[in-house]
Amino acid sequence: MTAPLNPVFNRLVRRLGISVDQGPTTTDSWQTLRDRISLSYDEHQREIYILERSQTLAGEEMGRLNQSLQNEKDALEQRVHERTAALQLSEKRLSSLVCLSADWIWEQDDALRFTYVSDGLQPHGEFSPCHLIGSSLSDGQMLSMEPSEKRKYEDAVALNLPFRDVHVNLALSEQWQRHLSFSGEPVMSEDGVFLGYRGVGRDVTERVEADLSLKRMARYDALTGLMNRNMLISELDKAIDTSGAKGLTLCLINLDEFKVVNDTLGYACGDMLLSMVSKRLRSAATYTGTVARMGADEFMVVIPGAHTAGDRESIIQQLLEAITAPVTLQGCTFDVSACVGVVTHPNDGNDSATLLKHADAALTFAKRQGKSQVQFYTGELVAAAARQMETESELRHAIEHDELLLFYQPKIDVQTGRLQGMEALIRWRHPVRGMVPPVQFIPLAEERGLIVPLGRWVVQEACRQLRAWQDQGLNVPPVAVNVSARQIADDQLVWDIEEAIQRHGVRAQDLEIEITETVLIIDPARAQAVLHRLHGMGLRISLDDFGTGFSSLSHLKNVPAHAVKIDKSFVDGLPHDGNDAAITQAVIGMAHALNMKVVAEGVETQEQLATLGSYGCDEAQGYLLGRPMPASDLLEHLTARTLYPPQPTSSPQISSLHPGVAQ
Amino acid sequence: MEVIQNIYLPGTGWQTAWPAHIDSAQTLVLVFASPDHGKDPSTLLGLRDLLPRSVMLGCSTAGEIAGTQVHDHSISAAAIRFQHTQLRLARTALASPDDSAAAGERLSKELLHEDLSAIFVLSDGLGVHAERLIAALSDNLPPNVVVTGGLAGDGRDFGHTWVFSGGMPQSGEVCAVGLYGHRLVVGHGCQGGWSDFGPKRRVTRADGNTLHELDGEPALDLYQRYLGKLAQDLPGTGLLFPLSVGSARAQDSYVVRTILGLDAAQKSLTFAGDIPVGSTARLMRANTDRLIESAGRAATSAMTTATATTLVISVSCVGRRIILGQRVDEELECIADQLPSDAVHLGFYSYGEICPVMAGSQSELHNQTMTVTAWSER
Repeated sequence: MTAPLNPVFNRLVRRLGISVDQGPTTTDSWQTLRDRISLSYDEHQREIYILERSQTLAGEEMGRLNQSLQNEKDALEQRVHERTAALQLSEKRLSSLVCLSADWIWEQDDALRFTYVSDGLQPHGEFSPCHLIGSSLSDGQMLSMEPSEKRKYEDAVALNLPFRDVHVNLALSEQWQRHLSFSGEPVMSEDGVFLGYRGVGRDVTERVEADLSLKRMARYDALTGLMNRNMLISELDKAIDTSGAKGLTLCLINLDEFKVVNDTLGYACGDMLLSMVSKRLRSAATYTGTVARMGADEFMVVIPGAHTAGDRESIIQQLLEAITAPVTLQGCTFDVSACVGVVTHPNDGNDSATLLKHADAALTFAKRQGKSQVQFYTGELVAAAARQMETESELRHAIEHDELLLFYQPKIDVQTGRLQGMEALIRWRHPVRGMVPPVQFIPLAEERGLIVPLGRWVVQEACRQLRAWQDQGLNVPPVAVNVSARQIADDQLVWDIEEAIQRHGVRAQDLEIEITETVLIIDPARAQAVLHRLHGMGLRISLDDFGTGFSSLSHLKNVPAHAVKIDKSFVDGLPHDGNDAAITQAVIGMAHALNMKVVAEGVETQEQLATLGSYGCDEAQGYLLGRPMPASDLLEHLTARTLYPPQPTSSPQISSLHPGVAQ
Repeated sequence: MEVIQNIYLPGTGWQTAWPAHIDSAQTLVLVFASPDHGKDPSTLLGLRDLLPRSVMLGCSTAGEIAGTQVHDHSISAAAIRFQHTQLRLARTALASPDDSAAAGERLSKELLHEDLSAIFVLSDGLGVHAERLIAALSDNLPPNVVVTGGLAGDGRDFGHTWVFSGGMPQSGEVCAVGLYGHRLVVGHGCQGGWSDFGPKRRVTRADGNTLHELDGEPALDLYQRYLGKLAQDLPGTGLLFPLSVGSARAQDSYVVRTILGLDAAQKSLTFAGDIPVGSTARLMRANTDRLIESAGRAATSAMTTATATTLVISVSCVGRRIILGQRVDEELECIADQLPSDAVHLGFYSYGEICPVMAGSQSELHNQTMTVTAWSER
């Protein structure tokens, strides 16, 4: 069996009409067949040549190509290696910098969801920075933004723009909240497609809280939590803008004698009192107005509306009632009082500055009237202030031009009626206004610091008069001068007194210093030092108005006083008021126990004098026994010395000596 | 559909008489004639007079195909009387090769009407930029319209080609017939039978149909290196070593480009078609048997859709005829082997073949390729 023939050869012999089995039958057909087979071989060899050559060349070419690709690959690998190392180094550097800084790094996808948050945001409890993954800055759940920050952020991301310092609150619970700041740059692909954001974050909680606290401190009073003066002014400006026809009432409140509390009980107690008062004011004004602390012991209550004077007075009354309830501090219970200056908007001013100025004027006026005073601002206050200024300048003039003079009020021995001493009291003989009572210029002099030259003049004049009387050969009892706290504070006081005594050649024991308890309270150490020096010089010292202030036995113990003066308010109740009688007796007993004399002030009736005599009071002073009088009028009393016969009974019959001028 | 095939041979005239009934407005008369009939068009004009209502379309060739025979100095003709298909003839003059794209546009505008299903186009084979002509023609047509045809030949002389559409044979002209109707079944096939060798390369420098560099190496150097001693006879042996160039119209397909000449100083080669820069290219080699067999595969492709009586038009390349030599009729026999007995087969050897690379792709210009068009009506 023969193998099957190649189909191409089969087709060839078929076309040539040659039988495969018999072969060519003619010379022509053999010739043709031979040529065709030969051609086929040629073609075949050509193809083998081409293919072999091509294979070799292509192999070489592939080899070269392969080598070149290998070289390229090696170079590429080397570059990748170098770049990777450089990248790792740079990443390391960056991450070490990031570690050092308070910042951390984050990435977001094109839907602005966090896809990466680096270490740096401190974990807390169950919270870890990776919990941010998947959330977005504006989802309003774990992260939230103030509307203005949200607008800033959304405006930027809407246009794929960078954003800086967007403030975000991270709140996991009410107790745990952090303030975060985010800055981001858009990330774009090479062909400009937005891929998301990448940026830095920072925990700014401490800074934000410090800012808030600073802002708060700038606007609120640390002690009471009330608005401070600055904030009150800004709130007042707003209230003025919005109050319209309703108007505002401003009450400027100042505690009476707050300084005394501070000085006697200490600053801690003073602060407690201020806190207490602020609470009381706040609760009293809860539904009516705004309360602020304007300064040391000064408060402001702003009440909107309150059209009528009646409304205003009732509100002020409520405020005062709230303040004046008794206060217990360190076991001491005492009453608190305050003065109020009241102004209304728009009547008394259209802006905060004017209103505050007028409230101040009203308060100052109220304080001058004494404790628990309420003063509404009026145009007359302005006139009064102007008058005060005028008075002040006139007073200065008066000191220099001998318009002042001293009146003397006698002190007598209760038992013998003999003249025991005199209290020098200042008077002002105004060239136009005539005799001006002390109440009209002494507080002003205190306020304006004129009390020191005034007091100096008084000492000089008293010494001069003493000398004059002594030169007339009179046996003159001691003359007492009042010395105020401001004089005690004046370094020149002791020197001034010494100088006056020497200049006029009088004895120190002829001069007596009267001081109030307040003097001892304000600066006890200094007061004691000054008084001991004066005492050492030989001057007598007595405590005036005893029993009205913060009387303290320690004052009596520490001050070298020779006498205590019982205040007129106790004497007034004698003999029928049991309390006054008891206090008077107790003071007398106590003073005697300390070897001090007792002088009763303001004795106006025989009955009082008799009662005091029965209590063992040493001396008395008052209208019954002689009003303050000029030196000349006193001459005859001095000549006699025993003007008042001793009273054998408990009710001495003594008639008034002189109508004089009211003290 | 009725088809009468005829052949005019010198000395004997038309082999059979033309029956009068075949002449109609729905009759297309295809004539593929030797270049001599351009100088003496009496036979062509006589045929026109004989079939006055029919649409005439023809051209000069480098060999007239009738069945399995190739003739010279003949006219291979067929009269196709369609039953359901309407015809429209369009012709346009080519002012210069640069007018090629505009000519393509003019033709498509004239032929684009409702139900257009196929175009058969014949162009002057020398004074034309055939790729631009075909691209412009195809770009303006719906994708389902199948464009086939070829470029007129002038034997092996490359001197003077012409087209014929019923008047005097014309150089510098393009003629096309549009076939309209839903019942026309159009098949096409396109095979070269060439074998690749060497690596695939990229065209790195070229200008029109001049190739300067492949993968940065001068094109002539590359050819000479790979062909070795066979390169000595270039460009004469160029026909045996064409270049396959990646198709711009169909992905993963290629067209064949024949070497026309070389420039030793420039180390460049010129081809019978453009070589776009950036396209892939690979050297090719001829194997006679595979060239022959590829014709059969082209026919098979064309016949996949054919029904009933079928007209088969094969347009092959003058280069293939030169390479195949005496064996040229073997490629026609390979076609005949794939056809039913009642199919009528005619065609010509051309200076360029026009056919889509694959079903659904746009038509392209080919070199050294067997293209087959098959028409039938259902």
